[in-house]
Amino acid sequence: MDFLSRVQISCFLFSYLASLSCELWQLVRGRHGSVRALVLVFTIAGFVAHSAFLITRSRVEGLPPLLASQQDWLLVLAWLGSLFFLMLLLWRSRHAQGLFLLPTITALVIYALFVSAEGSGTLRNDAGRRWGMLHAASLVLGMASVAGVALSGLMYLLHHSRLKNRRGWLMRLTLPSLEILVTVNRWLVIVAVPCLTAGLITGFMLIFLRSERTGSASVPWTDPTILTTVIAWLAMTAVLWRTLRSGNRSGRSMATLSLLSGGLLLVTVLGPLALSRSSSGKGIHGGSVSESAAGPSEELLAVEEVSR
Amino acid sequence: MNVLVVSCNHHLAGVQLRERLAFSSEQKLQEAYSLWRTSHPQSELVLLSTCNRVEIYCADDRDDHGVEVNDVTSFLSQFHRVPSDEFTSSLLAHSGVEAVSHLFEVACSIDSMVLGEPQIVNQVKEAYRVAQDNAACGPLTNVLFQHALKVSAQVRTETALADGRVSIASVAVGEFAKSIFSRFDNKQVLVIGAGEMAEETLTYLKSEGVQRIHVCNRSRQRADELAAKVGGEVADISSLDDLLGTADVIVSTTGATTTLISEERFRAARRKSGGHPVFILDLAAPRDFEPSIATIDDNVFLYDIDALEETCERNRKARHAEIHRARSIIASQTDVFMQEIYHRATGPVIHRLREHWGDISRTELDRLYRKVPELDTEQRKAVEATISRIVNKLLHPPLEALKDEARAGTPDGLLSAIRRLFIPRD
Repeated sequence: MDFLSRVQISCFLFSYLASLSCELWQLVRGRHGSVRALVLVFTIAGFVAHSAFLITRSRVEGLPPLLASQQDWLLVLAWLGSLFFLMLLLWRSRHAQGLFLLPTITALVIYALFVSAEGSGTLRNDAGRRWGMLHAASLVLGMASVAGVALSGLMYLLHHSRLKNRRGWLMRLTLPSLEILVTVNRWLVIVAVPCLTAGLITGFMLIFLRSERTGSASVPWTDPTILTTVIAWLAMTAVLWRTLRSGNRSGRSMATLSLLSGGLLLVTVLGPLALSRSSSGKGIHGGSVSESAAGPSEELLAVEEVSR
Repeated sequence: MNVLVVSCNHHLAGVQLRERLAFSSEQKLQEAYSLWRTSHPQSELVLLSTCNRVEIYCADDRDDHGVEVNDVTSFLSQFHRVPSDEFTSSLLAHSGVEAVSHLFEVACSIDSMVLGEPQIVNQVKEAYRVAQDNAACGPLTNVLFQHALKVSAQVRTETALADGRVSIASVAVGEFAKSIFSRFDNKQVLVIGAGEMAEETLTYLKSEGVQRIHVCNRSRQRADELAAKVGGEVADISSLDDLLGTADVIVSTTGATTTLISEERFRAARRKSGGHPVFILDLAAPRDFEPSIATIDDNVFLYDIDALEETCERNRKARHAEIHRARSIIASQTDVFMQEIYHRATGPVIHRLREHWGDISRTELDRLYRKVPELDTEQRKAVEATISRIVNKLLHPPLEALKDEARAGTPDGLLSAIRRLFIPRD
């Protein structure tokens, strides 16, 4: 247990960076069995340290990592990416999916270093925890799926260009077949839409519960998180609609659309922080970096009070 | 130790000569091993016979009177009934370290016509198995071939010598078709023309699980033959446009002198059946498909022979870049192997030397104990320890010299001297 508490973010960040370096080395020098093994070792090391860190955080805060702080929320998102990458490595280690997933994972971990790490420590009762968990889990799964949609879209476009043009550094990329990328893309869209929908519905429900307590009936549409989540949800629904209508005939346009919707994810994740810094200071999920560190999210506190 | 290889391979001999000297069936190999045993009962033998090489590996433990190149050429001449002067100039012969290194290079596919091709290691394995079945192997060839297979595995793991595909058909399927489709059992393949290239490509596609194959050819008879061979069905030339629209993979290898499928024709065919991904392999020269077909939509992937050859060449270059690393592994493993063999050669002499000197010590001690029976156990132990130390100190210089000499090769001269100086003849 003492060992777990000594794990720092830098431990898994450097493991992921080492893994990424190996992937980049393979891009330059060609894929090699021993380097692939190194990628696997570094990723497993990073994943174990990452898991240990989240477990420790959860114990210290007495809350699941998703509810403890903005930093934990981002780290859980990165952890999901790492888990997905590890599964892909064990399944198809010859492909260069690490070149796409590892930068995303490391970017999330680095970004997590700049947001609040302090947990609320107040959401102790079961009702608050349950609602909060449902809201946060569905949103984080939705976001992870949207990230996957964007990455698979990007991989599709690069692979498509490689097959069409057959020149340049793209020829060094070993990627899954277009058919697999399209299938993965579709399934992730199908997963993302219900998850984001559930996240939105539970979020609105939490706002409704708070408004009952405070007496104000309006939904804060200008809240950065609500705004960006709604935009991401609309985009994903549009992609899903297009997916269901197009069958298997428009891989490239689907991939382009997926990549654009991934841009929206970036806005969704980074937006709240940027906007809350410049706005009034308190967003629906805890407001600015410094303020969110000071206390729990308001709707979760509201639910806690209702459940009392 | 004597290891000798006599090789008739694609570097020095044409296919006609190789065919005449080949051991083309297991029956022939059995007969060859049987003939060899009658003429060289003390020598070990492994025969490696493939399309590109006929190689005879002989080995024996004798210091002299080992098998020589002439013995092998006589054997080949006698077995195949080919006068030896018709092939001796096309043979390559190596002995000792060079022979070992040659086998390692062959097993690692460095000496193959297609560098890094994977079949050779199985052919070496099979040759070794047949030799074992015919009781032609012995301690030396066992160690040699097992080591060769180990080196081959090491080279494949530690270098990229076997990476990438280098034949048109394998590149077409392995690098392009598999980059587009993840599975082939649900794909429809249309073959236009029924040439060798189409057949080879279909072999690769079949190995990926393709089940629905339509063969469309001007000559019905040739189409029937190919369809029967690959388990497909023959399509009438009049249904070509329908098939162009529905096929997922199109392989075209006709001998037509003008473009067979124009952009308008393909566009019309595609319009009827939607825009699913289609992989077109135009292996004909001149091309059967108009190049602008590739730009009809994003899901049309058209490759001609030049595009595939370009990839083959790139992969070939990548493999050639690995030769240096592979050779360095082979060189170091050849050293390791030769060390093992040299130590194995010196082992029996060292054993006999120790045994002989031990016998002398025991005899002299027994004589001493008989003369001086009053020596108690402690005193006897002290005397035995002293004698043992003297023997070890006397043995140390010749054994060290033997060890040093063995690093550079079988120390035949020194072994002979030690035998003559220290070990009495039986």
